[in-house]
Amino acid sequence: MYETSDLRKGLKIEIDGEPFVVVEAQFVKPGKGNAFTRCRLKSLVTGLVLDRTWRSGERIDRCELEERPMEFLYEADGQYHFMDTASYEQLALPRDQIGEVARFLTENTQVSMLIHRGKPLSIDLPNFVELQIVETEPGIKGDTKSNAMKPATLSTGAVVQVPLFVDQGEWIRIDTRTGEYVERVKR
Amino acid sequence: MSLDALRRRLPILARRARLLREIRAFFEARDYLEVETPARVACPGLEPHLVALPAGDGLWLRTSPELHMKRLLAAGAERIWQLAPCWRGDERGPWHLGEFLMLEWYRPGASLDAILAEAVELIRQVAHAAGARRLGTCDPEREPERLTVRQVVLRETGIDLAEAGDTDRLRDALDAIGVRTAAGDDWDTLFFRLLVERVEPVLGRERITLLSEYPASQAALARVRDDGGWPVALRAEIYAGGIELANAFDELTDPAEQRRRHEADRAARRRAGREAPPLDERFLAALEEGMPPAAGIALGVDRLVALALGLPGARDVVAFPDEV
Repeated sequence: MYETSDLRKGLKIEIDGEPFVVVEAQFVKPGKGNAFTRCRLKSLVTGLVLDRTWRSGERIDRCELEERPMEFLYEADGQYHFMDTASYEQLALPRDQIGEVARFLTENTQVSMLIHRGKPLSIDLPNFVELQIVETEPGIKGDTKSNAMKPATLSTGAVVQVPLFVDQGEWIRIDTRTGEYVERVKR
Repeated sequence: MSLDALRRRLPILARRARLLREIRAFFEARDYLEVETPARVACPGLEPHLVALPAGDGLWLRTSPELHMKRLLAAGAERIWQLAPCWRGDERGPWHLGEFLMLEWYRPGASLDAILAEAVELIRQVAHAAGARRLGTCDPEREPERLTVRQVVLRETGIDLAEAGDTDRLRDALDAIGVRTAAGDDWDTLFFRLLVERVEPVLGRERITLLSEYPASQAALARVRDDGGWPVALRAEIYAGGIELANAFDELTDPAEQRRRHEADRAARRRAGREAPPLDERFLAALEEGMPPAAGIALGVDRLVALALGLPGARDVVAFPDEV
């Protein structure tokens, strides 16, 4: 169990069995009154935010989370399926729990899955992934100076902005945290 | 804290010092006597939620200079004021420092209203000296809003505290409006949950709020008015921009009632497993000899300076924020 003095940004806790992360924690104590800790919490399941106030002396449940390396297999009906390559166990997550990075998932992508009581909560992609461009306007050779960009469709279906000199069929590195093009890579 | 970080803090310390000079000038212009009382005391504040820190020799670091200043009043001192570093354990947050600067002053013969009005003048003068037109979201020049606790709780939550006098009724009322309660919450704790979650954020939002008539159970060292029905403490808090700046009392001078409250506080502290320092017999003896009727007020200087300088918290206006 945690005490209220343990509550700080980033701490993961459990309320009625549901995992939450503390987004904001503030100590408050009105004159002549009890000490309280006011928190803003985000559900690790639904992503919904709620406010909660604990009186000093109350106990808060710890949250046991497991981080497991998994490999992306396939998507079907909005469910994204992953496999633990050591145990061959398979777990699936819906698109909204994966978030924007779903568009960079391709077969065999290595991810880190956050699991709470056997239930998958979210995945973390590597900071950088390499993907092939399947469609873009023909590259303008030698144009490495201008800052102009053009849209390119990747093998996963994602569309990203790339410099004009990049060609269809080339592989590029993407920063999954920003969703932006980083550089061309040789494959 | 690195010397580089400290160096970046020096301009703030200069601005803080400027405001402290303004405070000193304020009291000098009003014929107040500046006093100093011991920082180590035999009896720190006994209010149940205060955590006092031991200071050796069986003494404690003061949580407020109140009892010594009242002994000076009993001895015949007229208007007195003090800038007093105070210490409170287990209080740490952007607006709570374990070591903070308290500004406390007393006026024999004055009413609660009079000392509140004087405090508002001081707040305005400090804001003006800082060139601040706002304290947070609050315009200090506007006529302060006067509210009783019962009024503002009714306005913000629909709960009439006078109708929710027992713990079960107040708990039901909180449940009904979605304020969470926990097993073991007593009436005062439920009240403070309501205050913290639903009321405090709106206090002093646009103009200074003077909040008065606290539940009698929270009188501390203030007199109580009981005219049947809803007994209230003659105590007031000053809020600006959602921040509690000062607490004022129409001071309790009755030694028997004072002794009874101190004993009740000590019993509550023992029940909560907190240290229960002995009563301050020298203070009680001073009341026996006669302390004049007086109004007194304590104001958090770090908080006022932070609001006047437009900084995010009291921790941002001290030299060594990580160490207090």
